[in-house]
Amino acid sequence: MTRLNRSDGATPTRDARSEAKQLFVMIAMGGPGLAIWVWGLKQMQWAGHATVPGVLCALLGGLLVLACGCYHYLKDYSGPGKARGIVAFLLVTVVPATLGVLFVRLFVRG
Amino acid sequence: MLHRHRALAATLLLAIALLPLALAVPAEHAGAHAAGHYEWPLEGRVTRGFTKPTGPYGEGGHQGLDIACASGAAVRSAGDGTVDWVGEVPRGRCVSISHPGGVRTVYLDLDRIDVCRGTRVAAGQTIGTVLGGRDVSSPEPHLHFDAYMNGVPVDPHVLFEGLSTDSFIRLIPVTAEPPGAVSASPSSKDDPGLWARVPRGVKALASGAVDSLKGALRLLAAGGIGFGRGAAHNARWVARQATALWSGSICPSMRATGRFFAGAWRNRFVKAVVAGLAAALAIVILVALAVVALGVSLLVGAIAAVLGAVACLVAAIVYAVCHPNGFGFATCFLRSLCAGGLAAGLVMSGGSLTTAFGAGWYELGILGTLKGALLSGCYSALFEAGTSYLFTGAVHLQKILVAFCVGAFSGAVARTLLKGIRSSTRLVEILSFCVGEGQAGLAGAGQTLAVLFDDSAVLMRGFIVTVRATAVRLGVKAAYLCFSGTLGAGINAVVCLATRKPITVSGMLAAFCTGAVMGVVALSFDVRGIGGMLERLSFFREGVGERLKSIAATLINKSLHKAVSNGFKGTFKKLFKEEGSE
Repeated sequence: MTRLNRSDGATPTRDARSEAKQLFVMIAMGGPGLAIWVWGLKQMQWAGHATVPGVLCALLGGLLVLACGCYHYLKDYSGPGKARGIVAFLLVTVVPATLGVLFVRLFVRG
Repeated sequence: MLHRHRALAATLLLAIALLPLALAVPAEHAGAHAAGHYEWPLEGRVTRGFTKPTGPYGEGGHQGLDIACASGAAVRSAGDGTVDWVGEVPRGRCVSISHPGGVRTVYLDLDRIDVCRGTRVAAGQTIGTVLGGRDVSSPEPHLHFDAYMNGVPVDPHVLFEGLSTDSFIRLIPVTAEPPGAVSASPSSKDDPGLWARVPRGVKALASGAVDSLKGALRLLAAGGIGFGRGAAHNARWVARQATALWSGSICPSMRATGRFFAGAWRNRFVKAVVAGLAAALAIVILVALAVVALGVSLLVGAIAAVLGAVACLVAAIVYAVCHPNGFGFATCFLRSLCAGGLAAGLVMSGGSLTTAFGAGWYELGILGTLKGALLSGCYSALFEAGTSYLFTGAVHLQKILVAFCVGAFSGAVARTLLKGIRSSTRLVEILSFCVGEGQAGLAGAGQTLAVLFDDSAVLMRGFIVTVRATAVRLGVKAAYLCFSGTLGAGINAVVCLATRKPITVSGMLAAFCTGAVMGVVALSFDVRGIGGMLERLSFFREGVGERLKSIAATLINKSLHKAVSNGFKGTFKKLFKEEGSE
């Protein structure tokens, strides 16, 4: 049994409260991070070039989202099987994200 | 009896009235009964009369008479008595004779003295001759003649002419005494007087006491006056300082502060911040009430309060940015309140449901799936926004939202698949069972999918039933209402995105309120909603009626939803002055 299965009901090492707490922490980091990232990019777009506040906001937001990912990795995927954990993390996060971007690029016109 | 008492009181009043007078003019009183026993010491004109001294040592007056005479004229004793002092004083040679009744006479500036101390003399007996040169109080030669009563200098005329005590009687309160009444007051001619009968020690004691009392009273009065003057002076100083402080510092500062706030209030961003803060305060209070009344978790309440307050401020500032003209404080406040309430409601409903059903979600693995979905959605939106800006220089919110939704869905699926393959979940069990039984091909796949969908349907039904039953059982109906309202708002947002309609505040609020109202309907009639209401009629319980019940319940629900939704939309559009439709 790897640490990957912590959210599984069969693993008694983690209770629902801590799982919910992790979810809230991720929401608190990822939501504002994404909003700040988009707002910073919008600032840069409105200004016509890379303004300092826009760049800083975008960087801050991106770092928050990346920190959210690191937190998720450390809590759920890090462990003895490090390589397997990294692969699983990428499969669960990066691949679906790429799929989403491709979907938008292919099917959504704006 | 009454008259007797009045006479007694008059006597007492007489005594009290005479006491200070007696202290002030004892000689006159005493001289009254001394008249007729004295004679002038020599014949001559009085060149300078008696003047009462103003000081304690005789200064400021003339304590006697200057009787003009020729040098060498014989000086006679004014009355019977005993020489008690003979000697030299700065103004000349002097003889002092004590007479009965406390009277003493002094003869000054003599040349020859015929008596010595202790000599008893009779009235008219020669005691010496006048020199009359050294005493300069009168320009011509004279005898200086003094008289004292009990040590107090008096005018010597009283010795020779007497002093009528009728002048004292004028001080007595005159009352009409009835005829035959016995007067308690002694006769002034027969009785030497109350003061004369008082022993000398008592007199001195009384005099000292009165003097002490006078001094004390004078001191007290002076102290009181001084204290009052000092207090008044201090009060005037404090008042002056307070006036100067008010007019010099406080008033200008208050005026400057008022001008500053008045100037700042003209800025719409300041108004927006104030409106946002007020809305945030209201949200925090509401969340606190919800935490206390509904038993919401403290952590969830804190997160909801913080996010609600942030949403309030952000909404207020966004409103100020988007409305450079026609900025309204009330509208800004309402928008902030709605945004904060929406955010806080979302967090509280999600948090409450997570807390209430966390165990169930945990058992089902939903929390882990949600985490994966969230992270995948965030990454997807991040990539989409970044690449869009890099490639086109523009960022589209709709594309970002779609990317987030697709990424989240993909992430949830990926997480479920990964976890299922690894941990032998129900999906893997089904797949393994199908493979193990050798059912391959389309038939096997179809059967597997059928089982999977059926199982999912059971899962969803079980989830909904669990949500509703647990919500009612725990009494957290408010959480369920928030959940249903949030669900309505989310559906409204998805519909707007799908149909490319703008997402407005009024539309989101109307959807939230409609969802909440429908949640109330669903919770009514023993948590059976409209169906429960219809079941109360026996016609809808069996047969055709049971079939009609679901149709009627659906129609009623839809009509109710439509009416409530339209009503809320119209209200919020008017409230926020928004044009257009969802």
